[in-house]
Amino acid sequence: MKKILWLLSIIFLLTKLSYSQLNCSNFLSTRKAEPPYKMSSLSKSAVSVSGHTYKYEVPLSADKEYRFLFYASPAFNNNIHFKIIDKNATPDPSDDKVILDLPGENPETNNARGTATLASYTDAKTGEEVHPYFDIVPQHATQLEVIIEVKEAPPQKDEFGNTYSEVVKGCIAVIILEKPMESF
Amino acid sequence: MRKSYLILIFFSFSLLIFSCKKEKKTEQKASQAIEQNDTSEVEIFYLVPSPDDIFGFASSSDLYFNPSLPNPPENVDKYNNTKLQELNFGVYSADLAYCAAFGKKEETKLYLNVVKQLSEKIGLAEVFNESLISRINNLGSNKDSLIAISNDTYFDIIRYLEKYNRINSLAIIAAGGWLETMYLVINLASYSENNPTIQKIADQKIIFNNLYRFLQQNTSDPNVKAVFDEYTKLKAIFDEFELVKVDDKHNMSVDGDKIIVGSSVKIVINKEQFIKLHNVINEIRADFTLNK
Repeated sequence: MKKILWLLSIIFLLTKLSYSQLNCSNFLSTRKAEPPYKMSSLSKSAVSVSGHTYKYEVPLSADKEYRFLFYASPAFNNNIHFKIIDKNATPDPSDDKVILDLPGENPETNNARGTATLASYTDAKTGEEVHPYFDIVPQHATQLEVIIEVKEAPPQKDEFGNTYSEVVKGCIAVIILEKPMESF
Repeated sequence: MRKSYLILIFFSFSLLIFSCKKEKKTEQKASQAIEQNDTSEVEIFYLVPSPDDIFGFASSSDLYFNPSLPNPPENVDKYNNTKLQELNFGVYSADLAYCAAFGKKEETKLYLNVVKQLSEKIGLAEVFNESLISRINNLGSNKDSLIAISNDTYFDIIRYLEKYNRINSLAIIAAGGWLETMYLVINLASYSENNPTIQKIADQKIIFNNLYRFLQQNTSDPNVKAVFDEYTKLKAIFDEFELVKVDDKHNMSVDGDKIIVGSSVKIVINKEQFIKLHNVINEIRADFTLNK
């Protein structure tokens, strides 16, 4: 009987594992916001592929403060360029402003805030592990464009000496937390 | 004993085959999405907030709970095709958020049940698992817990639709939810300059444009196309709203680490545009909910 139960547990786990491989929505459901923040319904997680660019058009309301966090599957090795543009709600692209430009992980920057985009780091003051975040406050309602460029994996050579780039597939999540603006 | 092992082996294989089938389906869907990328190189996601998130409106002093505004629960039986069922699923989700935002326990429970009923018709019954049903049955009267359950239900539905790549359904539900939220707010507010609620209605131009483009991305589906065509009337009105340059960044005091955005343009709606928007919202809503 013990053997049967053991076997069933293994099968259940295998089933679970194989099914959850590309389920990017798990990226969102496993993360909880800490008060006073709550998870915004604008948060989004999607299947992403190396060599492709993804744009997230995010409408922001003027009565809230937002916190942006980025997460990516380890398969991408943080080889991702993040950029946030304030579209300012105007149809004139010359009014757009780049408000954040994060060219991917750089080991030399040692996860300093504002340069590290993905890896968690230990806060020197509290000793707690934190994930880099960016606090954004809209003065008037606006549209942010989050551009995520998943760079191609470094080229490799096959057995015949031909160069190729491996296509990496994984999940990238833009987690958006929100709270009422303090002055409201 | 040997027989039970045979049954177990058969059961195990069935489970594995089932899981492989499911995984294959997920991968196929993922690869379909990737193929779409190949043609455009850049994939764009237009994000639309949930009715709960839009109901930050509820804090405004000129909004109140009007029980005659939400779509009556008994209308649920009128919706006999997928388009109407999905649209009104969004409509009822917004009504649910409205009741929760004003702490109306009995109404919240009523609309949770309507949403559950419609979810069964559009293949979302799985979202209402035992844990959610138990939460509904033991619902307290605390306003925060009502908002939390309304929010969580909508969140779970969106994640479920994304997980199974039901993007067309998601677009229609988002369209229905946004329309009902606007219907409730615009029928509660009266126009006056410098009214914060009116400003929030003007700001919906940004959210509407996202919703419109999201629908546009999916017009290969006839149901989405029908909704998109209706929303073209609204697009024409929102396009009339004026964008006024402002420069009052210095008036805002925030923590130094925070990034200020949206500081140079404000959206403005005048009385005539407000009335036009009010009328078209009411007209489309009557059409979608069959309240004529």
